[in-house]
Amino acid sequence: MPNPPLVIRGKWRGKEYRVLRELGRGTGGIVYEVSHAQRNFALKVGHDSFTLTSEINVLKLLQKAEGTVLGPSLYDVDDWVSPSGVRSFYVMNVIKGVPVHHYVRNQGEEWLPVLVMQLLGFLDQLHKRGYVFGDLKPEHLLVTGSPPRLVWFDAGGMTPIGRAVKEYTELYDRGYWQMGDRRANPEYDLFSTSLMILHMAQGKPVTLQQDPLTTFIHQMERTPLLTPYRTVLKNAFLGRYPSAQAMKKDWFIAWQKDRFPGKTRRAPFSQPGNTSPSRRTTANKPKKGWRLLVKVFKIILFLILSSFLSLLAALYLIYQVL
Amino acid sequence: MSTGTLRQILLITDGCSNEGREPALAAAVAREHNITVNVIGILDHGELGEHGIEEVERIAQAGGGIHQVVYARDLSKTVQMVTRQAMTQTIQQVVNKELTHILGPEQMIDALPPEKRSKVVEVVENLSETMALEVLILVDTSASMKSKIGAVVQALRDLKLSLGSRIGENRFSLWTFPGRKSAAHKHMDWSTDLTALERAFSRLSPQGTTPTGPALEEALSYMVGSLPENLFADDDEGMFTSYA
Ligand SMILES: Nc1ncnc2c1ncn2[C@@H]1O[C@H](COP(=O)(O)OP(=O)(O)OP(=O)(O)O)[C@@H](O)[C@H]1O
Repeated sequence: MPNPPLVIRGKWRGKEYRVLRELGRGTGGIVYEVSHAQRNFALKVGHDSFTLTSEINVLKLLQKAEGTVLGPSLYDVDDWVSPSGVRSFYVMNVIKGVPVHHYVRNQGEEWLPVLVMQLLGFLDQLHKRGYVFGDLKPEHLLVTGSPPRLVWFDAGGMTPIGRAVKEYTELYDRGYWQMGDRRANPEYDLFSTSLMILHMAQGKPVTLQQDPLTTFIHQMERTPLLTPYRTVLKNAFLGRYPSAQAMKKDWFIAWQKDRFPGKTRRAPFSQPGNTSPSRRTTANKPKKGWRLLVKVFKIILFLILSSFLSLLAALYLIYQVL
Repeated sequence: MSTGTLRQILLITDGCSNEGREPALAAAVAREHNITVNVIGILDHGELGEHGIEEVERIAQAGGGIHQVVYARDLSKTVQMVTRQAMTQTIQQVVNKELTHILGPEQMIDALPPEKRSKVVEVVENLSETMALEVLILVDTSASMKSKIGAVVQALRDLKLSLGSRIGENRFSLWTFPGRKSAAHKHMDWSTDLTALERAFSRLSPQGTTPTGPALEEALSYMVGSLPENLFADDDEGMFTSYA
């Protein structure tokens, strides 16, 4: 690996950035931690000016996004005359955190459902702005701070709704999973989300084996952490949620039901006049036994009636013959 | 600028040509007709070799396209990526030509100030999403390809899926080489879907030599033969104005 450059100077706007270290690299470029005017930033040098500019265009659009899930803020866009030619770069804030799957694995199983809600809220905002995330995967989501909060980076896959998804990773891609095409719509992101949640809960990505739905359900059933969320996950996998908001709502209901196991599915959290969870649980059990008793009784009644009828029929036949 | 058609030949091979003229010749001629030639070399089992890899690169260079050398398991990802990259690259080249035409030499997209570049990138992306695309797929089915055909079918199915998610229309024509009586065999005329794909490959038993050059020549004649006449009248602008 060649040594990182010492200073990166913008060709158009003239700002100078002192390079401190490399933060990471991907298919699109290299990200350095740099210092400028006593502050530290992350600076991404693109391998290809076109692709980087396309990414910058999306970032600009998202600068005014509000909400709990934040992404990179853009500080500067410029070109750098490097020893090996002119390269485009942009400057953003440094994002610190733990990749979401590591976080959940090591310390945050309880937080998984909450992080998912944060993610769904963010996706909903993004979709309302007319974009899908596209290349949604745990590696692109970090958990930061305490209490934990989700942050994202890599706008490289963000695609206007209605177009072909720009970048994707096969493990989370609806097309690869044979569950639909690669046209950007909210369902595409929610599909990726369902597999990503499975990955986070299991600690490893799910690989497609023969039938997609069977693979998914099988893997889900092996993961106790996700028991309360099976229906929601399956719906997302099947593309049944038209919006992230709809999935968020169901996810919340499932989460709430998990907290108070006795509560019936439809009951909204804040509805007044609900019986307390404990009373429900005690009330539920005898009800179940009662239902069984009724069933058994019905069967016995049916047997008696049918044997009585056949006896009558037999008597009638005998009577006819005689 | 009316939206026209982008044209590509996608060559998938696992070996070096061993019959007829050198394939780069046909690729260079294709480029003269605004047809981009992309080449993907499959590495598994080492049939490609150093010469093969060099040839893959040489054909793509002559054909103004993109080349990638990959293992069969990465074929799906690569095929759709190469096709899409080649599309934006072609449009970028045309836009660059226009820019130098209007603003003088050295005024390429990359040399524009960031704000202007950002607008041009948007235009290029719009075009690559909405323009019609014609891809002639030319697959090497010489003896050594036998174990790789499954991956090829999978990759082409995936290509159809990716391109089918675009707004613009796609048309495909499917060829394999060597053919029984000629260098290349046509399985499918221009069509918007690739359903003939599975059928074509299920009946195929890979065998014979690797006449890459002659096969490219045949595929090219077919493609040029189906071009609209006026494309030749105005070579430079042909790509965008032919369907005006
Ligand atoms: N703002 C940031 N703060 C800290 N680290 C960052 C930041 N942006 C990116 N990185 C690091 O740099 C790496 C590469 O960044 P990024 O994902 O944007 O590149 P990419 O080329 O788009 O990657 P990919 O191959 O996933 O598409 C990331 O994995 C991450 O570790």
